[in-house]
Amino acid sequence: MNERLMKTPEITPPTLTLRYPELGTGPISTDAYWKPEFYAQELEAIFKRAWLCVGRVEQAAAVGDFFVKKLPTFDMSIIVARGKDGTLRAFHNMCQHRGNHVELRAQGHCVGFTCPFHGWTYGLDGKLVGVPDAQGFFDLDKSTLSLKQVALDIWEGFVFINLDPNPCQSLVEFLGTHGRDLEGYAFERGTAVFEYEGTINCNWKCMIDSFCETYHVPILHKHSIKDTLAGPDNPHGRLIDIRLKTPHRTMSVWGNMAYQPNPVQGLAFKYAPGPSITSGAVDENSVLPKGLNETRAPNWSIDVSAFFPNWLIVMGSGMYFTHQMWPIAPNRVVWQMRGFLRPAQNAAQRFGQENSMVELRDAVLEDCNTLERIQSVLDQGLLKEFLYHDHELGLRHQYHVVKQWVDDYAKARA
Amino acid sequence: MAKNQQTHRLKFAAAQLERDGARRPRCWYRHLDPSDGDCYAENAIGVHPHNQAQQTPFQEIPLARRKNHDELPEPFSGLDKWVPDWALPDSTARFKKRRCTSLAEIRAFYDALLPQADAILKYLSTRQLGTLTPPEGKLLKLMLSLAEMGPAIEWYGTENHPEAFDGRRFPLVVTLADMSPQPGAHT
Ligand code: FES
Ligand SMILES: [Fe+2]
Repeated sequence: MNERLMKTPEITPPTLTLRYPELGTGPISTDAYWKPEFYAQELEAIFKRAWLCVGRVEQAAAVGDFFVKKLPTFDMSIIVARGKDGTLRAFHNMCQHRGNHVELRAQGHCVGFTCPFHGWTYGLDGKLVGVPDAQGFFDLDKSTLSLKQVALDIWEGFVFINLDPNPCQSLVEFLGTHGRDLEGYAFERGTAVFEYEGTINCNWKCMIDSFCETYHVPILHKHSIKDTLAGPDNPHGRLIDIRLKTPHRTMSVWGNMAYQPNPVQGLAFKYAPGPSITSGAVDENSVLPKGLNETRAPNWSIDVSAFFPNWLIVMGSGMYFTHQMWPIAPNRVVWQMRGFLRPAQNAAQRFGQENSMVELRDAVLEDCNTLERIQSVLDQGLLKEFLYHDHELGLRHQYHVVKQWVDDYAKARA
Repeated sequence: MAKNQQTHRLKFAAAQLERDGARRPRCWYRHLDPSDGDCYAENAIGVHPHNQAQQTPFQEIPLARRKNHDELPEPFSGLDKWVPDWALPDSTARFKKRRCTSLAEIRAFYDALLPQADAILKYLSTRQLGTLTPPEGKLLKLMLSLAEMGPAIEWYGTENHPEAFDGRRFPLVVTLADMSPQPGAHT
């Protein structure tokens, strides 16, 4: 055995799936990835019942601050506002008179909401306070006509809502060990925020899957991130580890510590505010929570932490970005990718940030044609089963969790 | 006639893109003049108006009053000639520039900037966002264009990876301002 091989940490063998015998090792039916009947069940059983991330507390930091989040899945608009008592509340953006949106801006500051149709006004707590020419109504009881409130809770500064009027689990219960193990990460330091958004013609789960395995990295990303997330010591893009914390999961991604950056990239790494997205560098000053690089592998680059059902945080030691997938049809998804970089302390660091944005965008754009081609094959009903590699365990897990939620919901209603 | 057909095709593509984007927030606007190049014509995507507030408008001195309006800080004045084409308003414009420029032109820009890039960054690392003079702002903007062009040369060897998904379908909807101070920075 030569010296280099001896020094190289061992690549994780393909035995991860065997830790979870309940998931099996067989092929997975593709029905869940294109059939309209299954899609309709998913919306009821999952998207109307699970906790969904809608933003961060900084978006409504002060009393009177609000932001509006569109949920493309339901063509629904949700207002998140901070009341006079300092409490953050979520409401359906829906006037109690005839249903118009009461707030048309995406974010702002106000003392209350005035419907732009006939001018009904609501307080920051959602209470109806004013009705023009109220004498003209019959038996109007203002106390029963507040904006319709939506369940809201906060985890590590992220705002979650639940469309179920009586959520079957609290947010803490829902996130379980997955949430607990990531607590303490410096999420609030990622104040330089950018976001991309697009509609991709594929099933929402396929879009999530594309960020949950790195088996494709050496091939599909051969021009870009192949040499950072794979490399001579890991030619097939094996992951370091996959940990299932049902319904959530985390993939720890291998990093090539011997990577030599390209010229512009190297300058960007040198002048980035903290480790940049594709550098795989570790911020020595950050204390990593237990759940990040949980095996404490030395050749670690990033973790992909999947929060059921539709949210991923891709976390490095000094920056993170999120993906959120909003299904709008069995074969169509609205994809939002939001980056949270450390703020630039000087003008040169702004250059490092631009490199992170550009390389991230270029790399993820490489994933999308594949997804649309696969969907067209699925929509034809031609491909009956998916075969999953051991390190595609995250995909197998997502399927099982989705199926479980759909089946449990159907059973409960039967 | 051919020109008309071309225009018609672009209009059709624009309508299609509009339809595809029907679920986007309704307040999108065209922030680039469709007349400034065919490749812009079908792109209905710009900076979200809500984010404009964060954008410090590029501090331009009116043409009449400026002499060397393309000037960079003195140590880098040899690069002045790149300013008109490569100091661009924002990230969206820079991505468009990459898609609409030949690889030969991109390489010429890259080759001109790269030898001085480390010195430029050392210089910019002593300057605070929000306090840049117009020449310093232009210098930063040239470097931001270099960041955008980097992968074209270093990863793909083409303007765009031939296999890549159409970037116009995945626009920036929240953009980082080029020159404003950023929240959380201790200046
Ligand atoms: S619908 Fe809001 S006031 Fe009439
Ligand atoms: Fe990928």
